Amino acid sequence: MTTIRLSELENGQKARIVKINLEGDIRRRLSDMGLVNDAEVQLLRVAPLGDPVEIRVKGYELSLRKEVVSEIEVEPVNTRLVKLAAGKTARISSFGGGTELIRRLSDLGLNPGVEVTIVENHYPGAMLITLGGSRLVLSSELAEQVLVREI
Amino acid sequence: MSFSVKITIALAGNPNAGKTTLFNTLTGGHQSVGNWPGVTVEKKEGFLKYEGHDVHVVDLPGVYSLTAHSPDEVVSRNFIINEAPDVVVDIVDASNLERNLYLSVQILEMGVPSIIVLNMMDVAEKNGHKIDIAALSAEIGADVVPLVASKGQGIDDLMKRVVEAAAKKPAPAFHLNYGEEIETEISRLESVIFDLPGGTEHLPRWYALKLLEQDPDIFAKFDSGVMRKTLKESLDHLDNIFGDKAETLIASARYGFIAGLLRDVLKKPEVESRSTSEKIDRVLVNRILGIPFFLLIMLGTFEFIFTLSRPMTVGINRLFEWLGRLAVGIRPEWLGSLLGRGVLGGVGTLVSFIPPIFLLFIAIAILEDCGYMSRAAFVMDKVMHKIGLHGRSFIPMVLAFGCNISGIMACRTIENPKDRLTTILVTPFMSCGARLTIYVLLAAAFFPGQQGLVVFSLYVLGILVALLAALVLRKRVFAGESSHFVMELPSYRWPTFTGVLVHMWQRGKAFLVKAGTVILGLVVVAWFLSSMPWGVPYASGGSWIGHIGKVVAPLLSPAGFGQWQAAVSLMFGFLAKEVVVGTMGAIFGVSSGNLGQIISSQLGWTPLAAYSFMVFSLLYLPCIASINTIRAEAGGWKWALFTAVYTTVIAWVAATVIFQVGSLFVH
Ligand SMILES: Nc1nc2c(ncn2[C@@H]2O[C@H](COP(=O)(O)OP(=O)(O)OP(=O)(O)O)[C@@H](O)[C@H]2O)c(=O)[nH]1
Ligand SMILES: [Mg+2]
Repeated sequence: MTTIRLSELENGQKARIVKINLEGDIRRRLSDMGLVNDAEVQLLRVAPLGDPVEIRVKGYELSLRKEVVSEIEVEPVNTRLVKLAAGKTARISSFGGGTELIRRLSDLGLNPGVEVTIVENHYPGAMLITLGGSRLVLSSELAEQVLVREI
Repeated sequence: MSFSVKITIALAGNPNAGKTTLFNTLTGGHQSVGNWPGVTVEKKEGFLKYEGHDVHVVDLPGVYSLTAHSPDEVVSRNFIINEAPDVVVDIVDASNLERNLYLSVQILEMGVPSIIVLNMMDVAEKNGHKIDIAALSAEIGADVVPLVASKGQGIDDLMKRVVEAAAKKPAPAFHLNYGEEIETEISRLESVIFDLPGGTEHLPRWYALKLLEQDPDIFAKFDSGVMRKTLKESLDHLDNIFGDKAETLIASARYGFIAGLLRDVLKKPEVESRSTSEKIDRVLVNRILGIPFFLLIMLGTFEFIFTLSRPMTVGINRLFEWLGRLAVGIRPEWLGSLLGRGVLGGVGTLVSFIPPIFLLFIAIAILEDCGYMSRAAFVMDKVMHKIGLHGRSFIPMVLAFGCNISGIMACRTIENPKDRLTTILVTPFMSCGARLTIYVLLAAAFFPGQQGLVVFSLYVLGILVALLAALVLRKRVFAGESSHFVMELPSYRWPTFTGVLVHMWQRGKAFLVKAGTVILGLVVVAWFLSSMPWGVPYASGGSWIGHIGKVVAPLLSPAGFGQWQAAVSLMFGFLAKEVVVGTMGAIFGVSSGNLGQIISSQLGWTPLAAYSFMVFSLLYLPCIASINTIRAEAGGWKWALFTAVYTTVIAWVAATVIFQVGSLFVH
């Protein structure tokens, strides 16, 4: 799994902290605020000039300097498409199923990297998503096999 | 000097791209068109003459790629690959180029002569998409023709190109570069194919790609020890390097190529406004409101049908009453009886049901054309999921409201064989247009003022019984994992006046033809049996028909309609459900007034008995044509006979329970 810098996340994307390349006082202050290895963070928004960066961790919203944020390495969290509620947008990262399923989905334009928006989620019934110019209905079993990163 | 040649063209493309619309325009045909994916399930052929050329046009079911998943897709793929049409006309939805071109690239890679048709240019323009057609054509090295199939714009240009393309030598296959690693594996597989007996005929590169995509049919074609080994090595190698499966890599490369292409040739507005369809969907297919809306739409439809058709039906009834009285006076007596009682009583009664039946067909046509059909399937998925099926199975069930046969045929689009068989076997419980005649007749006589509601309740009962039967079948008889399900939703579109009329007329014509042939014939048989032995009072218990009916009638008395007239009508109904009413018309005649009232007075039915009779008619034995379709689609007499028996048993139990339990409350 590739790690990226916290600052490279997209707005709204969630990730898990893998490594913090900082020492001393600042490191301790981050730990106090809950920014430790394995903690889940979400990038909320970046100010127009790239500084400061707002993030959410353990339910709190924090505002951090860019230099700090770019020293935090994270691994974007994959969620299952089926878990996303109506109105959410996500990017497809990979598929859990076998060849036939993958082929079926790519025939319809669902491929890693593609951005999808959830219009309705009738779990355990099917879900309705939009991608590019088309609207697709996916059964929950199928959406279970699609791993995405929320944005 | 010009030659006349015979040209075969195949219309291929994504579902709902407008292939059949183009087919109908070209050939003057009347194949079904609808605004949902999967309308066409078998290949249809037609002819046209264009500037002295005989053009043979083949309309195919829609496919998203050249790998087939369901029986309808197999038809398209096999035709394109094996039948070698002179020109493949690839219909592309211009308003959704990215996804549609995915199939186009695959067709181009095959190297068959092809033309890309950008259909629905009107929609693309309305959405503000600007397509540089010349640049697109240059980049992919194929002819590209803009078209609005529904308005017939661009047909002439298309046909010119078709004739040109058929005369030309095919251009070399389109060559998409998949990157060094994949290209190496393609070459390796190509050389293996080359060495296999009969493997060199054509397209080794295309077959190599399909093998990497792990297409099972192509693999079977080249299955050999060497092939297995090489392919496994290739796949493992790619998986190692990229950490992704080969099929994903190949699909990504194709989409990557298309994205690059579209950057050059397609201009879209900066911010695309949230489409109207999406706004409507937020309400209409809402998690909570979706099913209530569906039921409301159904109830509204029946109220609409009855409110509008009542005055017309009454008028037609009067006319036939009058004609009936005239006819009975005709001499010789037997002829007057045949015309007055048999023909006018039987067929005439049915004619009076033309207004509600045609209105039903209009309602179904609007449903098909506006784009709600596949939404109903989505909304119902939650329920279908509980019984082990998917929303997809609901489309055949809704189509069956028009005629069970079209519903059973539509099951071909269901991928999973167990889902498909289950859906085929429960579709007959959906109430068809023919059964509507029975409800219209009895509801008007026994439930005046509440016809809409009564008929609605029967349709809902049909759905419920179908779902329950599916639950049992899917869990007990065809147990096993249900497969995944994915379906595209079309944009909402206003149904066109002519489109709806054409749809209505296709179904309506079938009804009229049936009324004039099979039903007329049966009604004459019923008249004959009612008159024999010569001299008995017409249609009395002593007539032949009375004797036949009396054999079966006792079986039906627990359900509340143990009269021989009811039994005999139901028996004849096996040949076509309209015949139930036709037989009653022939037995009771129409010359003496309203048939519904006569039934009520002569048979002494209570509203409860009438309702029980309607329930039985809804559920029992599908008509002979449906049984035959089940045999063909489910693969054998076994399932056809099974359906005949189990539906009748369920019908008897349901009607008996309703009548017996109802009798405790109603006196
Ligand atoms: N606006 C517009 N609508 C069109 C055009 N061509 C077809 N349609 C509509 O698009 C819908 C689909 O048309 P069909 O001809 O049934 O599509 P198909 O490709 O045969 O679909 P399947 O049989 O399901 O694969 C229908 O509602 C048509 O009326 C067009 O050029 N413009
Ligand atoms: Mg079609």
